[in-house]
Amino acid sequence: MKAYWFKFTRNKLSLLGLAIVLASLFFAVFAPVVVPFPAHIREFVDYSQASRAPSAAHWFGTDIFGRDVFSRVIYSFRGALKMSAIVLAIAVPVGVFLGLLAGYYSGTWVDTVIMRVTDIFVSLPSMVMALAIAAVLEPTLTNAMIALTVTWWPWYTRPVYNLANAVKKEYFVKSAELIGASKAHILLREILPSCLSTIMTKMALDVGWVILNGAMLSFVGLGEQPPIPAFGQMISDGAKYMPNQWWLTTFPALGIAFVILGFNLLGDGIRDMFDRGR
Amino acid sequence: MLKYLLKRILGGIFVILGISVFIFLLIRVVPGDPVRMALGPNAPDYAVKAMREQMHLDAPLAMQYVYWISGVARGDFGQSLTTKRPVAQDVVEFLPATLEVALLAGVIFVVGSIVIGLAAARYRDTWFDGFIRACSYVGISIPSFVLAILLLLWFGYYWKILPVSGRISGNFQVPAVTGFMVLDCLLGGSLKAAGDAFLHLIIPAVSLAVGCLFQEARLLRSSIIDNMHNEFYSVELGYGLPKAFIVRKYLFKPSFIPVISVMGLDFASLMGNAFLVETVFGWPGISRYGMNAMLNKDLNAVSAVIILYGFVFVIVNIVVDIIAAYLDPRSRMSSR
Amino acid sequence: MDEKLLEIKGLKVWYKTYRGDARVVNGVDFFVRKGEKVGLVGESGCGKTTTMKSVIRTLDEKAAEIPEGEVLFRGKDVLKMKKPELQKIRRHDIAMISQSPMSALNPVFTVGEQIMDIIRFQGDIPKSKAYETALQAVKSVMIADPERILRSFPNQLSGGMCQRICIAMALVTPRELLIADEPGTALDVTVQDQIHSLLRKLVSDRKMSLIMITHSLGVTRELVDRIYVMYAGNVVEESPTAELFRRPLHPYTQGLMKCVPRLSGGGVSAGIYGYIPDYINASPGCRFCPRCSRATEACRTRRPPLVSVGENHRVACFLYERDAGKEELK
Repeated sequence: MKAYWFKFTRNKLSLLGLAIVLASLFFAVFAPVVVPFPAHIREFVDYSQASRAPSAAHWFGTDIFGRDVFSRVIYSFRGALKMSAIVLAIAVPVGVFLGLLAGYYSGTWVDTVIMRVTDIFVSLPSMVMALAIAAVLEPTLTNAMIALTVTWWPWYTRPVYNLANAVKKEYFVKSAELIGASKAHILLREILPSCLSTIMTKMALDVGWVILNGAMLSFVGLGEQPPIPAFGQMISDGAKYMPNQWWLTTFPALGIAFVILGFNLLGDGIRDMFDRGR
Repeated sequence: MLKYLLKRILGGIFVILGISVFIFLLIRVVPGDPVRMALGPNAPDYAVKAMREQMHLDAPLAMQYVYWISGVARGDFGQSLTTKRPVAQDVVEFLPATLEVALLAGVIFVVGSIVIGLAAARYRDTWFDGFIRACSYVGISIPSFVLAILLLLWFGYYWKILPVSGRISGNFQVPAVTGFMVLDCLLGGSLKAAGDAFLHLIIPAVSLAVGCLFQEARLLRSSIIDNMHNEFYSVELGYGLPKAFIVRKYLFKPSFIPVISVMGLDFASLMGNAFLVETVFGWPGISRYGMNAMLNKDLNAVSAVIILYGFVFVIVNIVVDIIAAYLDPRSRMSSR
Repeated sequence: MDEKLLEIKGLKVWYKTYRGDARVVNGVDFFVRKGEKVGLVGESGCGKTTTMKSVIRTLDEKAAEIPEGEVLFRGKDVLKMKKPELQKIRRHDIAMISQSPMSALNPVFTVGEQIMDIIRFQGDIPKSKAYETALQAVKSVMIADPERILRSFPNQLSGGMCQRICIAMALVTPRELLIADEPGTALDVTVQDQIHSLLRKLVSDRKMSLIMITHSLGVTRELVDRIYVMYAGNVVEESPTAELFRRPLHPYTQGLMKCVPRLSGGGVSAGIYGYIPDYINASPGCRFCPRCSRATEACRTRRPPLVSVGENHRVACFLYERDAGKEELK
C-alpha cells in the first residue's frame, strides 16, 4: 500500500490532480453553505444588479437576471459530481459483474448473450445513445443520469471480460475450483482482484468523461433544469451574449475544464501508480 | 483475408439489426400517442383510425417491427414530424454537411497526431514533449463546444479572419450536387467560392479534432517509446541505421496499430458529438437534426439518425480493423 | 596477429533505478586480438551482454550510465567517438548478434526488407544489388529456398531459422569483429550444435575475430581460443581454453566446471549454492564471497585484483595471491 502511495506522490501532476479533485469535492459537498449568494441558485431576480462585469462584490460577474455567476458556477460542481458518482456507482458494478460472468463462462451461451448485447451498446457513440434515452424521457437530471448509466456499463464489461478470460486459466483459480470454492467466491475473491487496477484507473478517468458528457447533455437542455445551474446549461445560455458579456460563458467553461483536468490528472496518476514500470 | 472481411461484415449487420431493435423498442416506450402527435389533437376520428391502420399500430409488436424494418431497408423512414418531409430526404440533405466537417476533422487529427506523435517521441523529455503533454491535458479538459465558442470569439469577432456561421457566405450561389460544399463549388467552377466554403469549415473541424489530436499524438508517442525497449530496436541501432530512419519506418508501423483503433473510435464519437458544434455555428448537419428530432420527439427522424450512426460506426470499425490487419502481419496469420 | 583489435579497460556500467545505481559492470578489462576467438562466460545477469553492448553503444542512454572506462577499437576510444565515426564502426567493422533471435527481428517487416536496409546503409547501393547480396548472405547460412525466406515475416520462421537470419545479417558485409550473444541458447541442443558449427566455419572462412558470449563452459571448449569468466560484473578468471579446463582456479570457475554435464559419468551436479548478488548495495569485498566455500575474512572487505598465475592465465582471488608473488597486475 505504501509503495503505491510513494509512486503516486513522485509525480507532481498527479498530486495536482488530487488537489483539484479534493477542491471539487469540497465545492460539491459544501456549496450551499460556502457560496456567497446561496439564494441565487434558485429563482431569483434583481435587475438592478443584472449583467455586471466581474467585480469585488461579484467575482465572476452577474447574469441577465442579476444572479451571481460565481455562486452558480460553484454550485454546478454539485450536480456534476453527483451525476458521475451515481452513474459510476451503478454502471461499474453492473458492467464488471457481467464482464466477470461472461469471461468466466466464456464459450457458453452466457458469454455469447452478454457480449453480443455489449457489442451493440459499444457500437453506438455513447453520446447518441444517451441523447436518445434522455430525449425520450422527460428532461431532468435523473433521466440524464439514467441515460448515461445505461450507455456506460458496456465499457467496463469488455475489458473485464478480456481480463477474466485470461486470468481464469491461472493456477490459483484452478486450485480454487478444485477445492470446491463457490462460484461467487471464485469470481469475487480470485478473479476480481486481478482486474481491480484496470477498473480503478478507468473509473478515475471516467469521472471526467461523465462530467463532460453530462455537460454536453445539459448544453442542449437535458439535465439539470433551470433555475438550478449546471455547467453546460450556463455555457449554452451565456453563448447568446457573446462576446460582450464574456463572463457568462468563460467562467463556467473554466469551471468544467478545472474539474475535468483534475480527474484526468488523477486518473493518469493512478494508472502510473499501478504500472509495473521498467 | 476475404474470409476475415466477410466475418466482420456479417457481425456488422448483426449489430445494426440489434441497434434497430433497440431503437424500435425505445420508441414504443415513449408515452403518448404517435398518431395524435402527428395529426394534432383536433384531428377527426376517422383520420386517426386511418392513420393507425396505415402505421400498423394495432398489429402485434413483432409484426410492427417487421413492417418498420422492411420500410427502412427500402430507405423509407416515414415522415418527419418537424420538417413534414420524408425523413430520407432530410437525411440526404443534412448528412453531407456533417460528413464534410467530420472528414476534415478526421484528416486534421490523423495527420496532426502522426506528425506531433513522431516528434514527441523523437524529442522525448525535452520542453517540446512537455508542451505536447500540457496540450493534451488542455485538449481533453475543454469540451468541443467550449473550444468552438472560444475560437469563434477570437478568430470570428476579435480578429475577424474566419467566418462566424453557416457553410458559405451569403453572396455565393452554389449548385447543390453532392452536398459537399467545397466539392460543389469546385464542380460549379468557382475556386473563390470553394475557398470561402473551406474557411467556413475550419473552426468547426478544428474544435472537433483538437481534443482527439493531442491524445492520439501522446498515444503514438508512448507506443513508440514502448517499442524502443524491444530488442529489435537496439539491433537496428547496432547495425548503424540512422535513428530518425528507424523511428520513421521500423518503429512507426508497429506503434501505429493501437493508435488506429483509437482513431476509429474518435471519428465515430466525433460524428456523434458534432451536434454541439453544429449548434454553436448554426451548421445544418445531421447531428443537429438528430438532436432536434430527439428533443421534439420526432420518432421517425430519431430512428433514422440512430441507425445511420450505427451504420457509420460499423463501417469505421471494419475499416480500422482492415488497416490494422494490413499493418500487422501477425494478426493476418493467426488463422494458420 | 598480436595486435589488439578491441581492448576494454576498466569499464564500469551503472543502471539507474529509483532505488539507486545498479553497478552491473564493475571494472572490466578485456581484449581480443585480430583473428582471435574469445569466450565470455558467466551466468545470466552478470553483465556480459551489457559489457558488449557498450562496445557498439546500443545501451539505452536514459537507463545506463558509463561513469568510467575506455573501449578501444583499433586504438580509438569508442565511448568518446562522435556519431559519424561510431556509425562507420557499426556499419563496417563490428556486428553483434543478439541473444534471442526471434525478438531481434522486427515482427511487422519481412526478413528480406530488414537485411536489405542494413545493406543499403553501407553506401549508395541500388535495390537490385541489395537483393542479390541479401540472397547470397542467406544462402551462406545454409538456408534452403532463400527467396521464400526473404519474403517471410519473422513469426513464420522457426527459432533456428531466425538465428541463421541474424547471423546472415551480421555477415552480409565483411567485418572484422563478430560478437555473438548466446547464439542458440533459445534453441534445442541439436539446432544449437548446428549453429555453433556454422559460426565456426563462417568465422574461420572470413578470418574474423569472434567474441562468444555464453553461460555454458562446454560450448566454449569447442569454439574459442581464450576464455574470460565473469561473475557479478567482474572478470574473475581469464585463460587460454585448454589451460582453463586443465587448471580451473577460481572457486566460481570450478563450480561451473562441475555443472558441465559429462558423458563420462558423474551425473548432474548439485549446482552452485547461493543467490545472485545485489548490484545496488554491493559489498566492497569479493562479490562471490557469500557463495564461496573457501572464503576468508579478507574476501569480505577487499576486492581481489587479477593476478597472474601462469602463461596468460590470471585469477581474481585472494587464494592465489601468495602463489603469484607480489605481481599485482592492473
